[in-house]
Amino acid sequence: MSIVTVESYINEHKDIKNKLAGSQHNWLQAARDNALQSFAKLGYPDKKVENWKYTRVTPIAKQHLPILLTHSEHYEKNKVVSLVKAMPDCHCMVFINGYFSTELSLLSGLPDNVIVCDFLTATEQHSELLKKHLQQDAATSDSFLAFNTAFMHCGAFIHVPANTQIEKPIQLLFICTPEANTHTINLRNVLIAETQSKVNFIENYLAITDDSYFVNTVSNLILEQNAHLTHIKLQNESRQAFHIGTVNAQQAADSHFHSHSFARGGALVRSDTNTSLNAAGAHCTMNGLFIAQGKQHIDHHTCIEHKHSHCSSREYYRGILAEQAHGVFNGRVVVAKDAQKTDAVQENKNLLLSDSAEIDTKPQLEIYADDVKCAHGATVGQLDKRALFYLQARGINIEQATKILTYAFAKEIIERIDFAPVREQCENLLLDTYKIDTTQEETHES
Amino acid sequence: MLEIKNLHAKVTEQDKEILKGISLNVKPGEVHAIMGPNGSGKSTLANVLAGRQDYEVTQGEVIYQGHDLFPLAPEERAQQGIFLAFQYPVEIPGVNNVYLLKAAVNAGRKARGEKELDAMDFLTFIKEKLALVKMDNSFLSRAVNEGFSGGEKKRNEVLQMAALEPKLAILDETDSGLDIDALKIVADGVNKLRNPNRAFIIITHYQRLLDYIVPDYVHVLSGGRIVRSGDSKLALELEETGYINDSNSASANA
Repeated sequence: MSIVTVESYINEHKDIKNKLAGSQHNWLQAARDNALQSFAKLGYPDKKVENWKYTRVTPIAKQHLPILLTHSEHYEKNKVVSLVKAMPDCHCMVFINGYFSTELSLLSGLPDNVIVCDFLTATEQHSELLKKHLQQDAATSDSFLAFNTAFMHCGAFIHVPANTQIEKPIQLLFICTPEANTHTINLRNVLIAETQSKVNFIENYLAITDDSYFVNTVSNLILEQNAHLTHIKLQNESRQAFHIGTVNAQQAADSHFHSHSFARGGALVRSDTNTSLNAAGAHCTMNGLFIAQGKQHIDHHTCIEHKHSHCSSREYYRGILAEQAHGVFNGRVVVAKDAQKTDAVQENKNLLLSDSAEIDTKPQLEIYADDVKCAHGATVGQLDKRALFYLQARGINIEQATKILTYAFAKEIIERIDFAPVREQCENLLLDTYKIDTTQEETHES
Repeated sequence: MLEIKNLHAKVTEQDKEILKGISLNVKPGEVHAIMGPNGSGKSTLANVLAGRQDYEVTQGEVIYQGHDLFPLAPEERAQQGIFLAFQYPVEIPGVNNVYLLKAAVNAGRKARGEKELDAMDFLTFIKEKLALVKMDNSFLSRAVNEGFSGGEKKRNEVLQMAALEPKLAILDETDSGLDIDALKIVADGVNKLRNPNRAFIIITHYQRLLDYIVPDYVHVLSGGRIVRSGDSKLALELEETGYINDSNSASANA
């Protein structure tokens, strides 16, 4: 069945390739063609592909989900406006089913030298910069990455020049509406932080529909020397949706990359965060939290490649699986032969709230250097029975005690996020998920 | 207030009995000290009264305020005024002390049909209690017991006790591991909470605590049974002679 689907996308590519953004650029079309060939060759990953061992993509592969080629007009604007308002204190690019809406975006007050536009505009006005920084992934072994490159059309292009600091975070708000139903929303974001610049991005995936659609999103992050870039990904797609996303960062010397990934939505989710520490003094942190219920399947893969000496990385991922949910965590840390004095820590903790919930966790440490400090660990467990009894012995009933401890487990990750509005959104989602009485949260010492 | 009649208990899924027939009567206002060597069953008694699932009652009964205690879940016992100060208070990362205190106090108020305290009222309420154990406000915003010193953990237990205003407080080796200054603070806090309606069961390994909290009765627990009972003088005697009548030396889970 999936072979038929691959062919249908090859045909679709023939039909629409000259309508895709920047089709006038030969280099871009060549990149798309090469990627399409890779996709045709690779097909959809099955369980024989190590990276996809625990995640079956049959629900995506069994049907042709066409690329949405037109702007959506019919949706409830007031709902979108309230979603924009829900994240105060930031610049905001709004994308409806992938398409940038100038009207709904909030981009005033940005420094003049910063480029903030959609992928189409970038192909028209900044094609040299785009060509320089777009990762073309010709030799990729990842089907969905190849697919994404073949159909690049929508997304954001943001270029922060050297020595520029952007105070407020820039939110990329991707909203799916009922028009996305049974379509593919293919997004490619290119986010560049030049030397000595500082910028915070929030990629926020939301839906104002309960339908099934497929978001395939790839973000290329470029951190030049001493750049500081924070990337927060919030994934709260429709519970029927498929979401496959990759964040690929490239880090130059002394750059700092802080990644946070918060996954709550989607029926079938795969989210990858990769970074390559290419020169001395680069540092990355990767924090993640995934919360799955019902029959949700949420898979996170991370890869941190220490390619040079004196780099450090910190990774903290947690999963909470309830009911029949299935979680996957695969965290790879690779320390190259010349990457002496590497300092890497990786931790993955998972909470199983029911007997039918499942987690496959695989921390992988590959060290080819001999003078390094690396630690990793993964745990899978239930709530601490002693802590539950302690709360009960203070008069708190078992249901409430369970919720409090689950919330606390998640909160330790959320507290790592510096930006208060994101933290509050995540906390509210948690409180909503675990139905905790928030009035008890407001007590602060005066 | 509390009548323990021929209580037998064991660790769940194990065969060996730890409590082998304990009987004890505690009336409002009384302070009972329970002493005994390690493994005599002191902590088991405390945990059985609080409702810990790790123990199973095999025989006997406990009547609390005229009703059978055992059908009650641990939280119901707490809501009805039983408080256990833990020998090893549990660290709960991510949960603020003030959150726990307020949730606990309001759970009790709700169960009694009283109005729950809002954030402002609670803060006023808890600040008085903090003074009792000489703790400053910063204790409220810290995660429950996380990174607390041994003394701080025990003071935190007394703070919770002060906030919950129990009818029956059971202190499980609250003095163990405390230096003399911390011990005095804890004892002082307990003494201020003594009143004619509140009873205490104070489990301790050391006579020293009883210099500061003078009990009405002292019982010696050994091999799962109370082998001697007396008034506060008994504690002094034990200090000199050690635990005699320790006929059953079989170790039990203390």
